[in-house]
Amino acid sequence: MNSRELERYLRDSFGRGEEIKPEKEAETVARCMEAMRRYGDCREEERTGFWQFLSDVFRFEGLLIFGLQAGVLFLICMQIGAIEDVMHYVPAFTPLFALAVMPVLLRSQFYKMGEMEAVTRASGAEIILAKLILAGAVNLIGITVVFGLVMYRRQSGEEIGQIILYGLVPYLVCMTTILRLIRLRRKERLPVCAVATICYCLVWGISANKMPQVYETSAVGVWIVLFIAFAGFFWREIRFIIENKREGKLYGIIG
Amino acid sequence: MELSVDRLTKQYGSKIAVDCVSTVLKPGVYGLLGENGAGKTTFMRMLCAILESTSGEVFLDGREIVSMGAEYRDILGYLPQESGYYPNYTAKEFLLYMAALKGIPGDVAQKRVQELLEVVGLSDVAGKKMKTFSGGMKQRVGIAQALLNYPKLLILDEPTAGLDPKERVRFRNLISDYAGDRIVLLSTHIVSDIEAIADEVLVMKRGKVLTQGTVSELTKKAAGKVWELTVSPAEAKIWQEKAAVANLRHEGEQVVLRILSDDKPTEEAVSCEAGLEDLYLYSMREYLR
Repeated sequence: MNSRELERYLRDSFGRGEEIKPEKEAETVARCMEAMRRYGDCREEERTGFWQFLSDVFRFEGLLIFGLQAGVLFLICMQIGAIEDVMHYVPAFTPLFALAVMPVLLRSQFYKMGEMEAVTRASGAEIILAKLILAGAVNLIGITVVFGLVMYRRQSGEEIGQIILYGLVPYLVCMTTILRLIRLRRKERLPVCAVATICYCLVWGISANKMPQVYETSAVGVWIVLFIAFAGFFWREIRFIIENKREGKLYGIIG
Repeated sequence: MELSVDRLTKQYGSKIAVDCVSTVLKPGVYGLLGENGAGKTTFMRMLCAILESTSGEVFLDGREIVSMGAEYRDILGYLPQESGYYPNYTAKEFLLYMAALKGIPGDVAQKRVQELLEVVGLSDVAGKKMKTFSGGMKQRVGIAQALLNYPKLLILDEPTAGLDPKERVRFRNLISDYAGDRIVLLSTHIVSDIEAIADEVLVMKRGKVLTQGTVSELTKKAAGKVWELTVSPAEAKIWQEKAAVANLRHEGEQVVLRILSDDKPTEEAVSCEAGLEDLYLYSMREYLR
């Protein structure tokens, strides 16, 4: 209802009553219109919740997230088909999934959108969390496919626990490092982190041949300790993001 | 609504970018003037709560803005000085993406994006990728995204940069219409833009607010300090070295100088009416010599 319609409506309503003083009528109409105007200004517009936001992020970023992860999975599958003792190379594969998450997490910085996005209702933490949920879900699928293929190549389900540890420990190391650098706003160190992740893959690849003792059953204890430690560090970073999101604080690299 | 800034300071090492600025902004259009490096962008970024202050606070109706979090950002619209864009998004997709980040429901966002694209004159290129846009067109998309949530506090850092004269006039009219009972703060180097739309002007220099007031109040401050002098080209060079020359124009063989000076620079000088640009240049007069 626009103000002219409102005024007409109020005047018509008064017209039906009896003994209304014209000066009071005008005053009441003015007061009602002022109240309506104020109500219109104060009325809060509806805002979407986190799950709707997650769906929106999926709509806009989904293709990039899935494309990068699918590319990495394809490359790893090619390697799994070509390598003989594939189990020892699992630690060299999984950091690539973490590497493929980086462009998604850092896209706004790359395109100088950090400031513009930081002043929106969705805090930086909320944006990163939504991207992490989507990328993490795809990572989980990708890493599971890798484990399945490795077991298929070995024609055995034995040592599944070891394969999982070999895959998850390097992945958690890389993801924790990336999130920590974002949290500490070390923008300049992120390219170094990306290069380090690639080197990390190479080192693990070399270790498969040069350090077989790392993959012996007796070394499983060390892998378990590393897994628990880095799962803890990773969870700490995620918890920090969740807390920042809840409090609506700024998070990550802005400008 | 009232945005009060209390002794806001930002220091980078030994350099003070914003130095103990205190001011109160009430609904209206505020123009922020100052030379490069005066601290305008730093000041605006702190008002947007995307840059932590070294000391001092900003309050919106008595509530500290950083602690308001999403509630504050919900009423805020911001166009940064160096606004980025996603090159593979079309203008419409970009605005829908920003609307999603602002938490605007899809159906409302669709309508508003269409409406804003028309307001900024880009509805005919809404489906074109932003990488094909000129600087001015990208700037107009940036202005549109700042208005998506109908912000009660609109902060625009050099919004007219890259806009052609016609677009600048369209922008000025848009802001004048929009302001109403909202707070609009904009910075620009184009003094005429501020003169045309700002209710109040803040002049910043070396991190401090030198002066604040309406355009007429500020131009009064420059009254009696603006002089015109007609000299030969050779004399003009001498005057440029020894006085603050705001403007220089050739008239036939002679040169007409617009000089900013507290006292009459010479007997031949004629006093003339001061504008906001004169006040601004008067504040920065050491750079003119």
